[in-house]
Amino acid sequence: MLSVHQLSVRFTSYETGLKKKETLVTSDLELAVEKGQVVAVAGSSGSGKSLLAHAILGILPGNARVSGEIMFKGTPVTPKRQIKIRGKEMALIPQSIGCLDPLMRIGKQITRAGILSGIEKNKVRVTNILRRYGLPDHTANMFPFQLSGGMARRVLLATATVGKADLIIADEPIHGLHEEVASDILSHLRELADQGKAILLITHDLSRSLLIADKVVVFYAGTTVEEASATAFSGEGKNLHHPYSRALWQALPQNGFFPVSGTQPVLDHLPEGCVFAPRCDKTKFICKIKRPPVMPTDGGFVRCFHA
Amino acid sequence: MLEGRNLSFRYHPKKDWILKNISLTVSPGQVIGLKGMSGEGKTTLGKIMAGYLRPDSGFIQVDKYPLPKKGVSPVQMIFQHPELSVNPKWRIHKILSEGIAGNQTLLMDEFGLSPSFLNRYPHELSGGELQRIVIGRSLGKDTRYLIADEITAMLDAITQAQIWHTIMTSIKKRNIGVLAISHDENLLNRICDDCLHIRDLNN
Amino acid sequence: MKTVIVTYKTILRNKRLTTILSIILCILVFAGLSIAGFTISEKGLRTDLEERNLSPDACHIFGTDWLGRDMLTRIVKGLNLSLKIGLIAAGISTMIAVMLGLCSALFGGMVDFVIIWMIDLFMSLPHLVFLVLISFAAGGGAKGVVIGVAVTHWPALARVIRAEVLQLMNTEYIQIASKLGQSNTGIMTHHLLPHIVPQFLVGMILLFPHAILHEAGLSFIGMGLSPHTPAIGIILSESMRHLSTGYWWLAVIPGACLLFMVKLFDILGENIRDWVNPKILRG
Repeated sequence: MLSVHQLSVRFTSYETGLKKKETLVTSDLELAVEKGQVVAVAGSSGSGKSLLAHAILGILPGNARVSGEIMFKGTPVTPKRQIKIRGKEMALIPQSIGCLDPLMRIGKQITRAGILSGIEKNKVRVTNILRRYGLPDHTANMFPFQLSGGMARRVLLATATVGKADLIIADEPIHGLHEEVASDILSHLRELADQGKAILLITHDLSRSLLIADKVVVFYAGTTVEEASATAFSGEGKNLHHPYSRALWQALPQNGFFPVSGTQPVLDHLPEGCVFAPRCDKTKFICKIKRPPVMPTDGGFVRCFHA
Repeated sequence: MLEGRNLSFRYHPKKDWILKNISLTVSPGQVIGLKGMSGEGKTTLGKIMAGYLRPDSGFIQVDKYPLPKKGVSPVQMIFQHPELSVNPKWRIHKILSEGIAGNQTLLMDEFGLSPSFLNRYPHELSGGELQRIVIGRSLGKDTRYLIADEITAMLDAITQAQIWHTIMTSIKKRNIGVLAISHDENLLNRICDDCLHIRDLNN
Repeated sequence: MKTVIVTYKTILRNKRLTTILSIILCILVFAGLSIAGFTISEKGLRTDLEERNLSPDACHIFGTDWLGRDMLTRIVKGLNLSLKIGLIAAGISTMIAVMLGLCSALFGGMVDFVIIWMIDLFMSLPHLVFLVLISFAAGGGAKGVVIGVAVTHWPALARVIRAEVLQLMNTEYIQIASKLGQSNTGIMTHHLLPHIVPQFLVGMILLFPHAILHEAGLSFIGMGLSPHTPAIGIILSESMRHLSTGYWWLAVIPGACLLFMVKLFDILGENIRDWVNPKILRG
């Protein structure tokens, strides 16, 4: 359905004074989502997760430059095609409920999303979709400010799925939600995948995303360090190949709460070799001078010399 | 002992009570967890305990004295978004100097941060680093209690573990009591001596 | 340090560079104007009936008026006077705005109510009529114009500053500051004032053109400066009598100069605003 190969995003900005500089914010991203799959993108904030979504949809700010390859349904995605297919064949569940029009009733917003995705106006079934996500019928007459946090997320889910999009990108859809509401949203996403859609789930909450994901792509410092099947995240994480994925798994409060010292490098001062080398206990000479290439594993791929 | 007695609160006389008749205590050196659904008043209770909001009835006492209205408060609150907790136009050393009088380099060391950060601006630090600065700032010599409101909810697991490990050593050293507010049960089970559910406290 | 090679193309592509260049250019023009105002000889202001109503030529590049006075000298002097009056009036006006905006936000309650009421009152009254009344009541002349312009131009900025301060007072870091022991005055001087200085500067510069235009307007209708002072408003109103006789340069050139100066201030204000707020400087 969607595959991303060696995707890099650069931003130009101004330094102090008049010099322009270019910052590489994500480099060599690798990712693939198939029909019926939920692929979780996990990593800390600032690792470039949201940029990936924005790059796929073509909604990066004007000072961004994208290189690499994005394939959707077997054909390359060009800026022109992005405009044509976003909202129709691929849809975004945005991070913030601020993305709803504050002055438009919910029903109208859902209808509008349906029309924009190419359904005829009188064929948009607002009540059906509201009921599907457990929202009462009168939600259609409400304004965004009247919604609670959980309801608003469900409305965002409804606007993204009212059309016939085959790929749904969910950007932190459960952030800040309580357990019950979050697992409800997640089960809806799983259900959509089971109906044949492809779901890209972007989240920093690894443990929750594992509840529904088939595959997990781990982001670190602007690159994808590992793709592993969700089942590899179990026990002490012995089936994980990258030291960072293992550290992330073992840092969860239910798994040991082990901190790894150091912090994620800032994007304009990335190490020359492996991005995790400064914090890794397996670092050898080669890790410091060379970026590890992508190597296939049993469940996906890994970017590490020691895997 | 930080003590809240019979606290009740509502945002408007016509609205429903958010907190009704809640009592809780935190002892020095103790970590008390407070869990609950969003909208159940966890943050409101935290803000009342730290003196940001005044309860409609009930009172707060620190070692048998009420919270001071002016000057340094013995109860400091730490919020979820560190970038909102600091003046974006100040450098880190100025931000820190608002809360602590002593040696900043020592504090940076204690929190595992490079002293070179002192000369940077908040937006040049990551969320986790900035949250550690905010925590460090709140550990002035008069601080007896911390209210930590979802302070690692925005952060990844590794950073979360790092931050809580430093907090635990710092508060043990200073004999500070902590009220940790979170929706994450696993986290609270890890760090707390005792864990309360706000639903059970509310009468 | 790497050297920055400045070519025409890089200037156009680099938004920050164009911003700074426009600011420098505007300041240079104003500095030039002030220097010219000081150094230009008074001779041109003298009546010389042999040389009256000359159209622009090499000797009098802006021509002369019906009393034989050199128009270039009069315009430079007039613009200088406008600059001075504008500076004083805009300065006082911004001062009032900051004081009232701060008081309104910090004290709240009754103080806020009264100040808001005053802002609404000033904004709902017809501007020019109000200006005329106040400058007349204040005794006319330069003093009247300054007072009139100053007390009528603060409400918009006061409202902006009030909103800004109210928003700041609700931010977490200011609430935390008070729990860390900062006093109210400490919060005001350390947190609030530095934050509104850019607003203050930009507000003042954008008030400038208003002040100048209103000064000219008041003088034009005879309510402002006395007729023998070389002010743009007076030059324009005198020239009205001669327009129909074909002496176009008496009205067109001073009018264009006034417009040019006002526009320059506008550009300066907007560019400084862009400069202090780098968020809008992308790409």
